[in-house]
Amino acid sequence: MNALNTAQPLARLVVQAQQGNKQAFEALFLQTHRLARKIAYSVLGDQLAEDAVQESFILVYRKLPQLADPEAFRGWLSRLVLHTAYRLASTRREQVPLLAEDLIQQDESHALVDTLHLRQGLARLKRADREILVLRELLGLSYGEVAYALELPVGTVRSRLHSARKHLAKRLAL
Amino acid sequence: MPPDTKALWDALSQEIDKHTPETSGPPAVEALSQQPTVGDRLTSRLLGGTWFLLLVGGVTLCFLGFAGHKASLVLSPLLLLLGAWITAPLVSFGSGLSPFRAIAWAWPFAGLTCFLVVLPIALERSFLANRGEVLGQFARDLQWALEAAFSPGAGFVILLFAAFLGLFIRSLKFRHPWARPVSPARYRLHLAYLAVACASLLLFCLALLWRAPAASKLASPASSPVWDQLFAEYNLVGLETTRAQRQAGYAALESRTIDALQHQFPTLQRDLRMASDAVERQWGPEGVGSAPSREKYLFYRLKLDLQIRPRYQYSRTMGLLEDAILPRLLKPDLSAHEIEGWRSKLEELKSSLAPDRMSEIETNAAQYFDQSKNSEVVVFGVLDPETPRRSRVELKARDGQLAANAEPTPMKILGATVPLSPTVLLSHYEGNRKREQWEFLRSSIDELSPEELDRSLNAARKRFGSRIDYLDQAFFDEIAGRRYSDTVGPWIDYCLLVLELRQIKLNQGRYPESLSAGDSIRYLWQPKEQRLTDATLLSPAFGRSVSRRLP
Repeated sequence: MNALNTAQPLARLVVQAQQGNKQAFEALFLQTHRLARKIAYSVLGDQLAEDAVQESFILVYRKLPQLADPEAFRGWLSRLVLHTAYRLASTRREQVPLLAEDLIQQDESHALVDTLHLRQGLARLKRADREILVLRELLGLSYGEVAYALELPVGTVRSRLHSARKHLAKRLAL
Repeated sequence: MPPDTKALWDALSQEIDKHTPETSGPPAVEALSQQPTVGDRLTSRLLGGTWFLLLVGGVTLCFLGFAGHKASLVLSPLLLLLGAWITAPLVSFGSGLSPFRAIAWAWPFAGLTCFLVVLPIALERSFLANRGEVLGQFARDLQWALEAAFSPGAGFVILLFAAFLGLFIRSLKFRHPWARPVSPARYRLHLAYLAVACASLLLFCLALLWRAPAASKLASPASSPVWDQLFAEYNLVGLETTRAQRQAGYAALESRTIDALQHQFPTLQRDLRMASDAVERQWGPEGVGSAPSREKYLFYRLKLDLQIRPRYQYSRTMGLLEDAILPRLLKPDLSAHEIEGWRSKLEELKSSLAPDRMSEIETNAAQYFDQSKNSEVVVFGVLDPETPRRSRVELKARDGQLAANAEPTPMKILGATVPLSPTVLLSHYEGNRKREQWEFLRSSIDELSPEELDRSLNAARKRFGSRIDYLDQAFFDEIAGRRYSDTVGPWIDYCLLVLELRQIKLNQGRYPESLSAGDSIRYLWQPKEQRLTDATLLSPAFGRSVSRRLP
């Protein structure tokens, strides 16, 4: 599971960045770019993920003053990265794998084969199910952050997550 | 999450971390502005709900058009703004307005707009008219506004507009995922909840307070088309026909009336009375029918009058008793069989009268409450003459639309009939208030003597007439105008007394020297210089001497 920094210093950085502090923004980037990259990667694959991260953080800088609750930064960032990634995916008109198969080809030790089954199962899920599983299981966001990122009530997140897990379990069992 | 799946997720996360290259660093943002764009602001405002509600209100206003009212022109936009401001937190809570919420709130806010548009007009009128008129007009305006805004076409357009706006906001939100609705202060959300709670409580109270008045216990006078053909054929009401045509019509009407009086009474009371009036206008009561049926006609005519008790026409019924019945009771050759026949008929007439004035007043009041909505009855294509002439003139003189809409009617909403319209609710409320006020008034006059009773009612009539209240002049007209028990009643008693005396004369060959309770007669007569004869019995002085109640 990921090992992102705790929310409190992040929130403080967000407040400083909202006031135009470039150093705070850079620190914010350093703390959260992995999270952003994983989200972008889950949508676009390796080739475009970096572009999506860069574009997302430009958006983050420009729109950060509009974030009313600094505590919700991770959810807000996730929403922005998802938005940017899907926009890039639609403009490039490319078939976007969830987790690129090229990773497997690069993996000489065949370590990725263990998770191949999971990736294939995810790839066959609906977009909504895949998003919620990636945010919660892969990135480890809290229910509140997932709710914020997907603009859903927390209760709906719980029920949808439950349903997405069942769908994934079915896929994995096949 | 099952443990094996958790391990898989962890492995996947590590793989991504391991196989993805390090990022190149933060983007260059020195030249970028952090100011929100116009699109950002627009999205936030639209997500906030207030603008959406104002736009829906604006579309609703297009279907109303109270532009002629200055108060509405000035105050309605302000009230609309206030309504939208209060309601917005309910529409935009959480992540902001969604298409579903837009559709769900379109019609309720359109209804609120109708209310907020009509309210200033009522406020303006409240400075010029009394409370009853203001409330009545408010109910009519509100019903009209609701029917205009929720006609099938208008309702569909409002809903379509809201759906379109909702989808537009959704697309804006998709393009501006960072935008959040302008979040209302917490007190605004509380205010909105309070407003909803108050509105619900108000509607609940209205439902309780404005319940339908008690169901009618009195049968309303019947009217049927049985006579319409006859009246239409001979045009008895109009003046276009020739004298010969009218006389032929009256002859046909007379036979039909006499026949109906005997066989169809009392099912066609109102029609019969109209027919009878028409025939009598032509020939008078004594000219109706052949000799044997004339007495029957007189009896049924009296019975009809006492059944319907037309307002302010009791003197006419008294005239029938004095001029047509009494001379028949004093016929020199009146047999015992005829005396008995008249006695039973008069007793039957007497039984149809209320025993005293107070009972009659109560009957009158009940009749007023049950039939107030039918106060204006059209029979044979003309207004029933019972409707006071003043009211008829006023109705004609008043604004056409006002008069046409004066009656409570169900509401047409989206093509369906809604029985509980504002005008119906108001009429229920007024009906209940009238009953309550009458109950209060009745408790204060219950124990009074007839004279004090009339004085109290006159005083109340002036008091209620000058004050703004629910018991109106029509109510007191009903009370005072249907006064038969103490006007016609004594005349029936007098006729019965005459029959008693005729019976004594038939048995003893002469009238008694004096009358007392011992003669089983309810009146006391102490003759001084006057002897009792047939002529004496016909004289008004005798009548008044034996009954002080006789007019």
